[in-house]
Amino acid sequence: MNDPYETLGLRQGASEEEVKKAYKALAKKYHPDVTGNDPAAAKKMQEINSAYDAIINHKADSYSSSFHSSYSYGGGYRESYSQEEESNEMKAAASYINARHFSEALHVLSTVPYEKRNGRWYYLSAVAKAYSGDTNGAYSDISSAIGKEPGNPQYQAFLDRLNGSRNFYRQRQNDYYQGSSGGFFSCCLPLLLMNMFCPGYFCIC
Amino acid sequence: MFGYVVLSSSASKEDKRKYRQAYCGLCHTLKARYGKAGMTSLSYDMTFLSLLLSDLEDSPVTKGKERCPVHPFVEHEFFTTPVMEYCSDMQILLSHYALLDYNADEKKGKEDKFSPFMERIVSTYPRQSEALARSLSAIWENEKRGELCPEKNALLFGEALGEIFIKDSLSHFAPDLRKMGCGIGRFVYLIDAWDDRRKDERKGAYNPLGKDIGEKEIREMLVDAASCATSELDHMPLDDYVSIFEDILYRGIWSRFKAGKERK
Repeated sequence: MNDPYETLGLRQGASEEEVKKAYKALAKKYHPDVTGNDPAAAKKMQEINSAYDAIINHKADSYSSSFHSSYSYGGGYRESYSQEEESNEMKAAASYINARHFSEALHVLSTVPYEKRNGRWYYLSAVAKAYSGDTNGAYSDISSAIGKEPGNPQYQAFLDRLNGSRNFYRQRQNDYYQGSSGGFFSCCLPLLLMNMFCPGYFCIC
Repeated sequence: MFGYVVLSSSASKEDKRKYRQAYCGLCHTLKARYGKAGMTSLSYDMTFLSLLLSDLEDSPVTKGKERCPVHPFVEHEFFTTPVMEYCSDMQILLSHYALLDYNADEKKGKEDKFSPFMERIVSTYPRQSEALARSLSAIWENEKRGELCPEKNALLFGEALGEIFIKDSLSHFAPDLRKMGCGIGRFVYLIDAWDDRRKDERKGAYNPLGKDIGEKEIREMLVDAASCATSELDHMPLDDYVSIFEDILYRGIWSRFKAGKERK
């Protein structure tokens, strides 16, 4: 793979802000609306996306709660698991997760009958759920995975990551609350009052 | 359910100025596309989405100044971006269902001034409209049965909002937007239920939280939803309004939780 900074037209070690700006400029240039579905442009866009992820996920590793870094969509799971025993559904689910198609991963996992759901099934399901926003489902599934294969370091690491995400939020929130008054900023009081008398709101009027 | 995704009063002056201009810009767009009915549907939630998608797509900003029916005497600045057209459509979609929900809850028959627009919105955005319709009907079923399943309902609402956050399903950042929208949707559903629990108790109405969930439990549930809403923030290529997003997601969304506590 090419140097990701080079792909984005940047020098090695450019700042996160420079990476984001460069990405957005390139994404505009190679957008299908501009290039008219040119396959070469689409390929270039894929390279740009991969380069962006490679840099940002690496940077995120050091400070963020994001899941990206802990199991890069690439190799993550394969390392510790022998693929020979794996069914086609499970392989497909892992590929979908690697391609960030989490709904499709969950769909294909749902076709595996209950009696065939092993620790890895629950792990993959937990990963796809966490990325889709269902953290409660992810907690429940990763607990089942650990129950079925206690001592699996990958499952434990994922559970730690889930817990870490909440702690990371709390910590950042504490930083924000330093010297904060706690109220909210009202943009437009007359419109707010008007809305209260013409309810278009869920339950709150 | 609108009105929780707000900027905090502690945000910087510059952020407040930008946010207000975007709010007025979305109002302007709603008025241009949907007339007065559109204006009254304006929400902070879709202002957030406007800023988020504008930043993500580097959507070009058009600045303007105007007097509006709400501020007839004072001219104010606003800005619009092309993504506000999408956000105003999503606002009408949400407001239509909000009104249905209000009428059902309060047993009232308020006129749905958004229904004339629904046919076009549903045909233009089948993914978003179907997701919202599906989620809300599942929530309403659970409510009818009196089922106490706050997390289940919150997730249903979150899934619908996740679809609404995605303007372009082929975007590399669609999964990030889905997760963020889902986290915000879960948060909003839960905090709204928490806010309403006294009122619902007095009226003997259904509240998904039931009696067993106290402040400690709801706070945990809200932190989990909020951490879901923020975890992909750093992954997305955002650089114009990051301090606004952080203020809203770490501080603003909690402002009415505190207010609710004080009212007790």
